[in-house]
Amino acid sequence: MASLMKLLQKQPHSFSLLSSTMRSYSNEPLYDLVIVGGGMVGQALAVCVGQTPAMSNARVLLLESSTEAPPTTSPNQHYSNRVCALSLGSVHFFKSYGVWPLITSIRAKPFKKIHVWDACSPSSIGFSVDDLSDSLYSISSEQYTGQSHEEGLSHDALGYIVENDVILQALSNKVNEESNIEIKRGVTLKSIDHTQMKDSINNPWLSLPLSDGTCISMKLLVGADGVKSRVRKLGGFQDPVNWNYDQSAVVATLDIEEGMSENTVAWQRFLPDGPIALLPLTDDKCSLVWSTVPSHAEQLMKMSPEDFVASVNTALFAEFPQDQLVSSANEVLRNAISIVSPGSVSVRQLPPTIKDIEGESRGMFPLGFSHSPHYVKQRIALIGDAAHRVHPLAGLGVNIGLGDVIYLHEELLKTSTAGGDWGNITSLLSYERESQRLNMPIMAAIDGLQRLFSTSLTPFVALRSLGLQLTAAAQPIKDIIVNYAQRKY
Amino acid sequence: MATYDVTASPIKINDVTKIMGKISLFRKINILSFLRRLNSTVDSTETEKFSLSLKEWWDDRKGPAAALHSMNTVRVPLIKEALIGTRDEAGELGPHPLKGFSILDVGCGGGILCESLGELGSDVLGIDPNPVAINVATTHLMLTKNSSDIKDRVKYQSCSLEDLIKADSEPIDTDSSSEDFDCVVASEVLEHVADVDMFVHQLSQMAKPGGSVVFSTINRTIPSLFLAKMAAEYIFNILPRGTHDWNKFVTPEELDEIVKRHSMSTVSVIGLGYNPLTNVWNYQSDTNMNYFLHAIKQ
Repeated sequence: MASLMKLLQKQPHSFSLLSSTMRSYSNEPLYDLVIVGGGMVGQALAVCVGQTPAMSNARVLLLESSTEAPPTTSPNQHYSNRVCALSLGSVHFFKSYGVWPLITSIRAKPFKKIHVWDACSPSSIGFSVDDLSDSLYSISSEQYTGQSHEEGLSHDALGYIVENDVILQALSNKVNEESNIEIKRGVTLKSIDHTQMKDSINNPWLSLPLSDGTCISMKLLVGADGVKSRVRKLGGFQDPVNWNYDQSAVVATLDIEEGMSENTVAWQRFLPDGPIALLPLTDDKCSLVWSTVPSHAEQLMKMSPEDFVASVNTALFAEFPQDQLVSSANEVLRNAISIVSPGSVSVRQLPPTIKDIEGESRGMFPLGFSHSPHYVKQRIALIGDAAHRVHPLAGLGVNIGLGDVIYLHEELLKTSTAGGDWGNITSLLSYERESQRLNMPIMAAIDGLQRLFSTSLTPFVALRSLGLQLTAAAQPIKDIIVNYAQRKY
Repeated sequence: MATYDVTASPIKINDVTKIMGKISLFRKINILSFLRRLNSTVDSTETEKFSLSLKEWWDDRKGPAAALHSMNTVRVPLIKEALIGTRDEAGELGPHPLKGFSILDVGCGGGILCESLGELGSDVLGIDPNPVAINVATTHLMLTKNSSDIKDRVKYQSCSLEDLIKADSEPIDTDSSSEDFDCVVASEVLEHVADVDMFVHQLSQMAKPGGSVVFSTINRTIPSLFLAKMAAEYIFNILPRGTHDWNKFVTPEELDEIVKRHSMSTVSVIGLGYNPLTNVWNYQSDTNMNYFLHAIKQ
């Protein structure tokens, strides 16, 4: 032992270095991952991390600013007015983490067709599983529908309409099952200590004071706290590129006339003031998402239920004045296409007629587009609406957010299996590159589509009408759109 | 190095012997490191190149060690594959897939690879002839690890490979017979040693029979002269000038010959690609630049 003591004394110069720096953060709890925001994407990330064996010793904290308990929806309860159109990719994601059975045990409605048509021209597009190219279809039938019976997956579904509350409830049940995930409700972050960014040696971790007076340290902070992200603001991220569409969305749950066929089509019509969409909930109920100018939205909110139903029916069925030029241009194109590929011009189908509106289900919110130029910084990553927000036009918002979760989890997994540090900027930048590469085109497409359709100027109407015609006829373009809807990430 | 256990975690001196399985080995090395080194594979001009500070070694964003940090994403899974037969990219084996394995990292520098291997559960001994680098490695381990078990699993010693072999071959205690390692790693060092043949021989001596010796290094090709040497040191400034001497680079064919001479057989050779703009590494079949070679001791 004496010789050992001698050995210990041989490196005395390191003592001071250690004692001065160790003190500063040794008392704070150190988390591997802190997720701010208990919404869909935040909880989805927590579930992924909690279920990955390589991450089972990670200490995870989920911070939720609201003190409300997670929603509890029972299968026979009223439908909520906020719904998502989950793509098959998102469904697959939920399936692989055991969340999907929890969702279907409450309720989820498959849609088998998307029907899009224009109010100012005779053109329309329809998408169904038949539009999938063979290779894609074989993947989808194998991977998505292999266990269709027991997990309630319909073999010809393009996606599922699910209420936000149902997804949240399923996710929070899963999060509660994970022993390494801690949840704090009613707590927000007060500030972010930027000294770590400058001196990563003496301050290796990010430390945050919380509103409850405690202070925590972490290797990685994830902002899943929505459009007005506090993490983005406090983290010193460059302001996102954003604009408002000067549009608001009116949402509601509607009762429809029971038609002859089952209610499995997602309907979307482009009106001069914005798109109106009907998403199937049950055989006799639909969810409405109507984007329009704010003044009109306010009117819609105030009017009597009877007038509201009448307005919706008018928006879905009324013939809008069609420009002569547009009609004739379409006619020429239609003829041209039918010569080149007979049978490819779609026949328009009719949406269901609205009977009534469910109780107090009307709601309204402003619409905007925003995209943060950066999703990551040293030890900080943004996911979901904190990083980007799209027009609800195609119901893609949550699917893009879940894409972020998948790419970030993939990078964290690479880091974990190489014994690395989750906050390292190289792997966070890989997440940023990958998710921006896939998000930007679809976000630009949604934004462009929205702009193109929110005008009744003749050249634009002609352009989009021809565009829709061409899309209906041109298989490859249709494939791109359907591919996105079906992407398995 | 035991210094840090005493200060950083509440370990009593009595426990130190228990915790450090290789204590007898360390004692021998310390004595030996005062002896003049003869017959050494260590090139003293090379050793001085790596006197980087703690900040330089552990800056994974920029600077001379950034590429070594990101290289862990490929070399750690390959070492895992050498030990357990799978890279476990899906992470199904849990957080400690290398639990129970002992690894010797020769030329460990600031401990970039050792810490990651320790995170995966293995017992790691990192050695480097440069005491400055060892001090950095030890300090960083103690500063940044919050769980005490990884601090017990990862050990560093400032010594050369021959010091370790001498210490190993002079049994002081009766229990010092099993000092050989499941895996001996020479990552990014082959291109810096004076006598490759002898160095490989020494690596082989430290591996258990049936154990692995793995190398990652730069091939001696025309592309590597321009990219790994010229571009990295003079254009991108990824590495300090003079880091590499191209003539010391070893080709996979030469290395295969050398390992055969020292009763080892090559199991696999894989190319490693590097993108200096994104600092991302990937596996590739092309071994013209960087490559990873896994040999098994017979």
